[in-house]
Amino acid sequence: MLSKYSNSRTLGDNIKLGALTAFSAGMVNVISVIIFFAFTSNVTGHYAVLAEEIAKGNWYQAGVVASWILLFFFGGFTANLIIINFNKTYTYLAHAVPIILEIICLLIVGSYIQFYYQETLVETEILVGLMLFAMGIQNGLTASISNSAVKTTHLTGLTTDLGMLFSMFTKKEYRENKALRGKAKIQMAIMTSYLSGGVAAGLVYLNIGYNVFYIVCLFLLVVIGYDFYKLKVSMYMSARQPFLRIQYLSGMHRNRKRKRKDLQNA
Amino acid sequence: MKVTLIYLGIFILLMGGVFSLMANDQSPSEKLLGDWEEVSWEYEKLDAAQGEEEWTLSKSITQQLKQEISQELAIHKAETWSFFPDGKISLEGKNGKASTLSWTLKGRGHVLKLFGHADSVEHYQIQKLTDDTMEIHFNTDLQARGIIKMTFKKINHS
Repeated sequence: MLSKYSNSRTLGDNIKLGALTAFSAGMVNVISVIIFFAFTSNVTGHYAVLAEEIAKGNWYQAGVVASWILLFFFGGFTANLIIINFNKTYTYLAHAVPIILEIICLLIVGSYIQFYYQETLVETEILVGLMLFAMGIQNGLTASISNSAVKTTHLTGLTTDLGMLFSMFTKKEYRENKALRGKAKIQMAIMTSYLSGGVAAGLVYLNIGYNVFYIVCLFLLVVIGYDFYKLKVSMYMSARQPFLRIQYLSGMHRNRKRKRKDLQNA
Repeated sequence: MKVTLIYLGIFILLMGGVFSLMANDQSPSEKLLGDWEEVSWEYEKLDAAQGEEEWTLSKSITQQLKQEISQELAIHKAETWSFFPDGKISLEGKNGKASTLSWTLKGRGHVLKLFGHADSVEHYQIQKLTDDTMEIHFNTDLQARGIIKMTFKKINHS
């Protein structure tokens, strides 16, 4: 899911990556709205709010919103910086480290809320910023490794793309185009997962409260764990192959010898 | 090396910009501190479902309707709101009767949360907050069916 890069990725890889990460993004977004009254996985709204606060002359709030946008930007920057620097030497780690960073950010937010949160405005501003950084990392990672096919928190663009795709599907030539159908499948998977994640977070929050953050981390652990498992299996199989080949060839050789002996005896 | 310096420069510039914006203004939680006197209760928006004539009606809310809308709310009969730095708020009525609750701000400081009143939590949208004026909006579905706008003026800085 993570270890394949850009063009070597299959449609299945992108759907799995998109669905799982979009589910976690949906959860994070809804939880942040419930607890902090601020969105953390969509930045378009923050640009509008920034403009509004500047127009009103509320410089403190403008600064806060600007720093949130910058943190989302730095999230994407950090994820891609890690990938482009370590992808050739440590492919798995290059893709796993951003997810680990995201998990750390969400764990900090979850634990802080559980044990220390006094509901002050400064705390809210910092925690929202940390969540935006985490979402920036996730969006940057998924966009980078899928050649921009998967953007799990960019639902404005996704909905536009889906609108365009479905208008194209009114013509037979586009309906039969495998690439377009694949793209529609990814987008639908992301949209459904994002929405499901949000609904799940809302429902789960009523029962387990702030522990939702730990569930999101669990989902992200599945993403890196699955990839680690796949990588280990493929390494194990490739390591076993030469041995199997030798065994097979030596077995064939033994059979031939036996047959030759049998023929001579006969 | 040159690229690193350029990136570092841009980073410092951006962070400097953000911090100077925040340093040149008071935080909303600081602006709120002090005593606020209620000036008016109005409809910000009326429910137009009953017809166009609704819009021609007056937006001001009568005292009786105000009492009815705020019946179940913590702010019922409150005329003066006093915000204290320890997170407490005192809501004082005309008859001098006061109730103490807790307050906190959410989001970017645009949502006022009041709690400690009969286990209920109430959220109010701060639409405008200056040194002397505060405008709070809240939704109600009780008779008024619209957004209520409360305007306050500061009478005492904390």
